[in-house]
Amino acid sequence: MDMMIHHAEKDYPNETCGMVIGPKGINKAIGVFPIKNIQDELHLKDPERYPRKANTAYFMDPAEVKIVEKEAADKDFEVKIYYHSHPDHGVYFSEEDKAMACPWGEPNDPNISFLVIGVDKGKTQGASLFYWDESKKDFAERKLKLEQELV
Amino acid sequence: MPITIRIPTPLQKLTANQSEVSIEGSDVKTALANLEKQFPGIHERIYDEKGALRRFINFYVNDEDIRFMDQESTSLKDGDELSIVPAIAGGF
Repeated sequence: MDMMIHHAEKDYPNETCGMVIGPKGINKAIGVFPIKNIQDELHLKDPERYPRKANTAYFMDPAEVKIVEKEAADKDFEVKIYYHSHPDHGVYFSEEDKAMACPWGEPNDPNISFLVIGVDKGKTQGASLFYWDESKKDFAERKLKLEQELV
Repeated sequence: MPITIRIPTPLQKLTANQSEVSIEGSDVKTALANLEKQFPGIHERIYDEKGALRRFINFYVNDEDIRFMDQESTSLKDGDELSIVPAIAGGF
């Protein structure tokens, strides 16, 4: 958690984002990879399609995502978690987060969880893991202690 | 000129569970139109109500994001791979 908290506070007041990888089939996190939030670039390029800026939204740089996915696959690892922060807005999985996570009503990979870090006035206040609950066809929340190991 | 389109898991129910399909098309727009002809229902899932590609989906031609190429006009050649990948994004 320490590394993600550090990234979230460093990127404040913008949203930070990144990925956590670990060995396939084992509930363990091995590596944390911050990913560039390109929301501001998209907004500058096309403000009508991307009205939000990086202080209220994140969009992981697809090129960096692919690099991490490839690195994970090469080591027989897999992506475990996508994380992002909510600057001055609490810890919850927003409607926008859900809509993006389930573009067609279900997650692209239901085994990948989403971790949200709440950062108020530059200081981390809490974090929760949101994982796909197939029986409810919705995300469920597990609150995390900031000092704890991830999985 | 056939190219390969990689289909994300949630849309594979529309492509008879195929993760890759071979499609004709000289650019992204034509290839996606031909994909719809072969597998009806794809179009409404990748285009928005204004007829633009949905903003939360990434389209790559051989690992290059078409947002930073010629978007839908990005040309394709025989053997190219077009990937449809949901973006990892959100906001409060």
